Amino acid sequence: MDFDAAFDRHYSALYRYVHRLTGDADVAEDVAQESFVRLLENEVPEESVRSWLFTVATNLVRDRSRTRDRRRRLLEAEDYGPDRPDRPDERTVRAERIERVREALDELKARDRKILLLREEGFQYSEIAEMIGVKASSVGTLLARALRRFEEAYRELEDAPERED
Amino acid sequence: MEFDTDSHPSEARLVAYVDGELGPDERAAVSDHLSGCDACARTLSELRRASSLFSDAAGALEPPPSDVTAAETRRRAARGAPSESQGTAAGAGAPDDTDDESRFRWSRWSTATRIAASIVVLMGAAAALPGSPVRSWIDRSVQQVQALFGGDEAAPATVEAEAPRPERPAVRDRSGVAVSASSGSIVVTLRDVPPATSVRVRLVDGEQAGVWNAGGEYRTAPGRIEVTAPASDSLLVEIPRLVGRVELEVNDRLVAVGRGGELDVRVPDVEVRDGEFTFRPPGTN
Repeated sequence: MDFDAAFDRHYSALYRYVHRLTGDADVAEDVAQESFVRLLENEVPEESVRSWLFTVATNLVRDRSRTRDRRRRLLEAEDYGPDRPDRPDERTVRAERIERVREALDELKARDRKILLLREEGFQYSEIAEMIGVKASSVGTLLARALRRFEEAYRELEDAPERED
Repeated sequence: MEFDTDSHPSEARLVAYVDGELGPDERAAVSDHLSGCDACARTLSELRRASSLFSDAAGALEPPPSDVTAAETRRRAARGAPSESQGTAAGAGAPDDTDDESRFRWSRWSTATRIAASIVVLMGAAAALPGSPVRSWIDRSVQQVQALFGGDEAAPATVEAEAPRPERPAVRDRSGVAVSASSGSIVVTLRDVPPATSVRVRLVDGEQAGVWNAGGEYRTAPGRIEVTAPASDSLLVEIPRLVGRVELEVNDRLVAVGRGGELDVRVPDVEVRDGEFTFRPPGTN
């Protein structure tokens, strides 16, 4: 297995996936990094590298979420702030959008979030099934339901009046 | 699996249809059913809309490019470090973080950070050399960042070659458009394509989908390309391997899906040569 090639090919997508899943750039970096460290230490067939990395990253996120959940909630607003010097109006619009998306995602079950984000990364149903531990025949059902739930949650937030908090 | 064309497909099956997860027979059966069932066509449209909404939303959660660039640079530099101390970390599979493991990791990446600083200096020197690979890599990165921040509505098309290049991209010679993967998916739509047109599709490295030699009217937005009434008799569509999902729709039919670095072409009479798929556009209904 060519580690450099695997890194070039998969790092950005892995980082993006974890960042979307957690909303935390530090965690995304750390988890992606850790996943590649583990890749280096294991014999993984070339054709399985991608799903192997995403499985490890998903598990790492799961384990971290147990201990970091409370802290994440406290830091949430800061975590999603833009890291580039946006203009104030840009920053506000972007932050509001991100907050709405994050809230809609939070309305979903953890499994639904993962399944949608893994689909977004282009994994096939059989791969998704293996990663999240369900039957391949259930993936379509879970996806359809998750898509509907996400849309419903997002639209509700869109229609909700501005909150004071 | 047998599929009854008279019964309404479930939403699960429709999502699988959108995702290219059905076998040819089942896909054809769903297609037939959709052509005669307004209710299911409406459901499909709703699911596509929800899917599109989620893709856009996921795109909004995209880490700022500066994050990616910085992380990438650090990782590129750090990549060499682990091999020096290989075999000291915990195994993979079901991860189980421990303090020891964390200490190991952070000490390793601290060393890597020092290496990174050295490499940044070397890259700076290399970037000063005209035609150097580092210089082209930086040029390319800058273009990608510009593409990502090109605007929220109709971002200007960016033109990108799949391989490192010296100064200006050679692909400017062929007219066309490309969009970056600002989210995990890209939709390429070709409308009113004349039946005699040859549509050529191929996978390319990188994260940009492109339509070339098409003529006609181009419209682009983040993650989307639309070409209407292409004038060329042979147009080329490039599907990037590194984007999660790329859909190609021709004359309102989903004809190809690129996923996980593979291309699934769903039209009959496809000619495959040198990794390029050539076919005629499906007729409009």
